[in-house]
Amino acid sequence: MTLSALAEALSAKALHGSEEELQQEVVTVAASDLMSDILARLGTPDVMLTGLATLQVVRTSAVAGIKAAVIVRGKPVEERLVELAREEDIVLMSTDLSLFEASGRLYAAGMRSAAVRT
Amino acid sequence: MDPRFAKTRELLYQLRVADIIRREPIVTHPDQMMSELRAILRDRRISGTPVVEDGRVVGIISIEDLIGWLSSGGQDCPIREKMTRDPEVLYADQLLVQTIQHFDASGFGRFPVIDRRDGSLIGIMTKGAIIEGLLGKLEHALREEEIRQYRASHIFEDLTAEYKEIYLTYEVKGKDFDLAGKASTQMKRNLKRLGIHPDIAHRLAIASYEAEMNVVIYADRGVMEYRITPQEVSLRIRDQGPGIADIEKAMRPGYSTAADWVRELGFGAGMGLQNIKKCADRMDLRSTPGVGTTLKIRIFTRKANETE
Amino acid sequence: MKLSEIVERLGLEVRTGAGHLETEVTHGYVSDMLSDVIGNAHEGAVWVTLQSHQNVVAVAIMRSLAGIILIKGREPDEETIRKAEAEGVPILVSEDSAFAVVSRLHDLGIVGG
Repeated sequence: MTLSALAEALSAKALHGSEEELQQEVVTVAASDLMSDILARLGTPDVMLTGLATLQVVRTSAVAGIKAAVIVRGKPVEERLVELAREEDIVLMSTDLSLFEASGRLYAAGMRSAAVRT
Repeated sequence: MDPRFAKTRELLYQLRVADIIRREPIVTHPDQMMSELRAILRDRRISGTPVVEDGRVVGIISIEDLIGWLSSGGQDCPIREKMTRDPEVLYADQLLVQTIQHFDASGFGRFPVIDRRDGSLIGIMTKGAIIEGLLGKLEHALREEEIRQYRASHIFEDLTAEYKEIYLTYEVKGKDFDLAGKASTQMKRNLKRLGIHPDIAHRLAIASYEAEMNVVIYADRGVMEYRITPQEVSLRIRDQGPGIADIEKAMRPGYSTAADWVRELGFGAGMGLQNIKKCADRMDLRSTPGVGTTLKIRIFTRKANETE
Repeated sequence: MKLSEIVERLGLEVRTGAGHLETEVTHGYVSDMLSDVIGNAHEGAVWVTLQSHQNVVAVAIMRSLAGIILIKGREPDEETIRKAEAEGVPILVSEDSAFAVVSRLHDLGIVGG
């Protein structure tokens, strides 16, 4: 699905991401509050769902090559996080859904888990 | 290898079918007549269509089928009777490199692309689409960043010396979560510009980031020293901190001495050292409690070249 | 759906609380932040997490959670096992990622919240 379709499925607000970037196709996803958990995967997920709302969400995305980060549970997102996302070219979204609900909806929309272990 | 070919190769492994296919393709229904198909192929200048019934791909009909029908008299009949039934399909999430094998193995010129979940038709994949897709992406690759990358990646080739290395250093401040990870993200960009193989850059960036986070979480300050030679990339990270009392225990998945505030920031779940180990070809961790810790990791670039 | 049925359908390994698997489960919660679980998890939910240290047991009791599913083959600490066994909190282990576990729970009709 495209990132804009993903935003719609999660009733998410795009905090950073151009029209063009939101047209990117994404297939794999990882859901975690722990950045090391996301980095532990063999395959880099296209999208991360997380309850974390720190600068590390964007840095982890940049380091791992994740296209989009979605902050769940309606956590307030500081402006400097959005700025860093702009700097690092990471699509950033926010949704009020829980991590479980967001995961369930993306699964129903056809997204799949990234490869888990080496 | 010519950098342009290397780029094409990289794209084959990066791009997925969904990135390049022709969407909303022209389709036919099995009950449409062959004479209609003839008009469709002629007017739309295409060489075949998927045949769709009730939202599902039931067959594929091509100009070859049309020619076969014409040469056997051209008695009008429904497409259903001449189409190839239950054709091989591709999935939108497959890597481009996998699809090329399909073209080679089957000899077919086009494949319907379907959604893995509900089997619905998303588009059609042809060799033409692959070429167009690759050319489009390669054009992108001529952007400024790529030019810079090209220049940087030639440093090793352009300079002559008996021994060549690039040495980059960053200082890390303990307990500063805002700056944490900045060195590693910058370093990843540097490695990309230097033309280091993406897999190597990815592994070094992850190991480096985990190591940097450990300094931020536990130590007062640290220094990260990266060394890049034609044979390997390595990182030595030294910190002034509490040290690790039991390294064997610290390496155990799930083991962590992190404080609660660290856990609430999404770190300290006892995975960092494991991740570093997975990424590195060599890892050497030494620590003196009360003094500090030195971690050295090495990743060999030669191995990546060998697989090419 | 009974927790025992979830164990069976997801092929989970039961590490503790084998005698407490008949609880009816309707909700699931995914989180690695203990404070978040305490504040937001639905009572009686099954909790999916990578956190394996002993505090998870206290959180599960506080929130009357049906059980804990540890992901990616993460094994609970000895201390965690001891506490969970004493308190009758089921700890179940899956080899899958959180997203994959939620996918399977979603198929079984377990909802978020």
